[in-house]
Amino acid sequence: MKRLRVTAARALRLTVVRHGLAALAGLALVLVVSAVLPSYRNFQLAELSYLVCATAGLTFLAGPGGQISVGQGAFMAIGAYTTALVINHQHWNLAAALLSALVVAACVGLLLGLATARLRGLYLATLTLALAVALPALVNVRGLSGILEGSNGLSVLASPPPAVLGADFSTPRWQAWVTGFCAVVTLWFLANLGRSRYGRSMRAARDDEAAAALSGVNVARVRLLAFVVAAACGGLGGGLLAWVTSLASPGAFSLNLSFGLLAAAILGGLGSLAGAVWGSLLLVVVSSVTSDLSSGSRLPIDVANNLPGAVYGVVLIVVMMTFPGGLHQGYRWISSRIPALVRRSRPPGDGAGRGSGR
Amino acid sequence: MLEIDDLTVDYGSVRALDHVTLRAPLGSITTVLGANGAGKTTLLRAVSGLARPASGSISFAGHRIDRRRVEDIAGLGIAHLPSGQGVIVELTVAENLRLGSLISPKPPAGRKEDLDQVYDMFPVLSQRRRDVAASLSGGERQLLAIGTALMSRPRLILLDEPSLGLAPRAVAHIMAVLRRIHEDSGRTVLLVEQNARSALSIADRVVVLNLGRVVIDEDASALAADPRSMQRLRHAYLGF
Amino acid sequence: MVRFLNLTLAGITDGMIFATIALALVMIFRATRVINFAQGAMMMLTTFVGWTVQDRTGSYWLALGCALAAGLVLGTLVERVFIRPVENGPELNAAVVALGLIVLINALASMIWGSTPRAYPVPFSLRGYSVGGVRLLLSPNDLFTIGMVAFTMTALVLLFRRTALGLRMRAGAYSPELARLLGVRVGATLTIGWALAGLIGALAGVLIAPVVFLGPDQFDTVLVYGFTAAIIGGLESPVGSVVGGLLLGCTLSYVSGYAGSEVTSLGACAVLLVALMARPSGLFGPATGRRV
Repeated sequence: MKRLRVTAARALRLTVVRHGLAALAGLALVLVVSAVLPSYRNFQLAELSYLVCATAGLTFLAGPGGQISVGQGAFMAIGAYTTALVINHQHWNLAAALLSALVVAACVGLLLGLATARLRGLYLATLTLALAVALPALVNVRGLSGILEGSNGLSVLASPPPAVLGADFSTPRWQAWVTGFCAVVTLWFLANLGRSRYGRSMRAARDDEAAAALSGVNVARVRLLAFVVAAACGGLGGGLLAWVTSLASPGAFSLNLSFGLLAAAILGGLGSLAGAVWGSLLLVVVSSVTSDLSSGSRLPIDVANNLPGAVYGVVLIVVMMTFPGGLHQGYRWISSRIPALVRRSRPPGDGAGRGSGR
Repeated sequence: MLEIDDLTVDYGSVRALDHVTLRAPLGSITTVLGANGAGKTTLLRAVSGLARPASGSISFAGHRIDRRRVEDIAGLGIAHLPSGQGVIVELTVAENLRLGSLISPKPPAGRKEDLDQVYDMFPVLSQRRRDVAASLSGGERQLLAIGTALMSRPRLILLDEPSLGLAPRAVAHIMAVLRRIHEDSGRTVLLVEQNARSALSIADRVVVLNLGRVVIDEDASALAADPRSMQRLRHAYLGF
Repeated sequence: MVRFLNLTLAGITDGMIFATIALALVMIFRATRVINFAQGAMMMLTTFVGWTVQDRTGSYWLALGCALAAGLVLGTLVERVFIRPVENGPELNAAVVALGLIVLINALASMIWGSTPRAYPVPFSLRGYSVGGVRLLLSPNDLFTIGMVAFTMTALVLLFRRTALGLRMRAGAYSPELARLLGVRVGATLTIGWALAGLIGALAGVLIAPVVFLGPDQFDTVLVYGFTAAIIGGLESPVGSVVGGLLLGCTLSYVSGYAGSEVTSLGACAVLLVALMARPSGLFGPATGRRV
């Protein structure tokens, strides 16, 4: 018995085991939450999940990779259109379609990464920003507009939940399952990659390029890898978006989306994957809560429609001023204070100071 | 002129200065010596307002200055030359000097006169007045920093290791310049140095810091004459 | 040949406006190391102020004055209220605050003015001059645009090169601590920098609004072009932003003239990529590697 416990404790220390358990817990959470929530909220869970995919890519790029991209929306657009095309024209199944979205986005990322290998910081960021504006405009180009349906976008053929789940299994719940699964797998993969040899090389290259190069790290290659991984995550997120919303249209990939994803990544806390979840959660929750509130009120239509935006803007600013290290840091700060608060609230003489619970 | 009383400065949990008291009388050159990490730079930063004291007081010409803003302290006539980078390298020589003269409101005529004086004293700056300061050598930058300080007509000059990284000849030149400035105008100087020999050659008074505490505070001539003091000086530097 | 000339003329006019936006970004970046993503939203807001004044009074010039004044006030306000508190945190936090401002300002503008794009008037004729029977793509209004931008640039250069305030602002931007030791109120010079950037942005907004129309999202693309111009120029150099703006303006004009207007934004991407592949830190940026 004791031996078993020691073995378990030792196993827990292994990163792979810890990440695997966390991923299983994440999957369980998706199942439970999707069962508890009503159908409409399940749609939001799916929305959250595909945002997490895209944001986690940015977090990874910015954390170990040390690069900033403002153009994640462009890769999402690539993923979305790829998914729409292969589902509509080739009648591929969902898994193959999502995989192709991921691969195509990664390839574009690879090309772009090769072209921009010498760029750093803001220069790279601005290039991705220009891409985020230019790419959605492509749908109107002669020759392409026939296939991509111009500004109206492609509607994606719906795929019903598999028959195994029963006839009355709700579609949003099925979508929440699939996207949730993808998000957890993405996080799991990125966490392991960050802890791997490549992750360490990336961090070394980020902190001191010259020193990393001298110790045998191929700086150009690890930077490129980070860029490609981020692009692939964006592609997957975009593919899921197209499938969930049954639409791939340029309007979905506006500059606001790219800005929103970057804000979510920084807001959550750069470099921590948990931060990517927090940031995306805030993006979804704030807009859904305020639109619930404003649609029930008797405000003028222009005000009601834009209240979520205004509130989200204020929340972004306030959070950044309150927690300079991001939401995840704020969460840690609060959770580390709770034991102290509990202790302080106990009356004196009641064993205060002993067993601090840390 | 400058009165520092019981000054304590902390950097996080590290105590950089520990109840330091010292005087820099009007028209004197006081040199502060000590090993790395003794608190010399912190002392100057506290005087010019860049470091906030935890306790104690700093007075200049009768005014408390320890809670005032850096810009205001500079405006009172205290010129602080940080070690290493005493000039703004992106600006030209002439622009650096002009920036120095902007501190105190004075007529353009006075400004011109000051500028001529500085160019007179440092002909090399005059030759390179249109060049950016980044193109100057280390010694030339130090001269420019001193020139910029002079343009502000300071009453007190705080110098942080002006000899750092300079060749011996350049060090000798800087020390000669400092002595000349002092003799010409009787300005008060607080000079922080690691190079004890060159600093002692021009100082009136010597203060030695060790781990944030004052361990010696004596007249320079008395210190030089007293072998036991010299031994204590060595002790403060090298620990034996 | 005439077509090429005309496209060049149109490119110069557009390029001057891109250069103006780039200049506003460069001023802020040089002074505070913040990339002001919110420049477009701020421009939009000040242009709406101008539009409202124009709507009420019918005077273009009064509206221009009010928009510029609003730019000064907004720049000051943004720096003091939103940027100053996060300045000492990680660099990207200021960027997020700017992103928050975009969302907030866009939402507020949509609440007040609605989201349908509106026309903005021009002060002079849009009819091109004709030379020897050939109609040029250069109208009195284009000359007004070019003149306004050139005037602003000259005034800025004089401010920075010839005045004590300009010297203080540059010193505060390059080396805040040394500047403070030399008595410069760096906090104040930073605020003035933001206010001037707000003013320049407001000018760009009023000049571009007749072309792209005025609405909460109408300035997005123009802002990206401004960014592109600033980056091509190297982010730190006002001269660079003018060169970058003109280069981009002309290229985009050729691209849309010869290849079709749908690929214009892709053209911007290509120009940026080519310029950065040639010089990774822009044409007028710091040479290889930063000073240590």
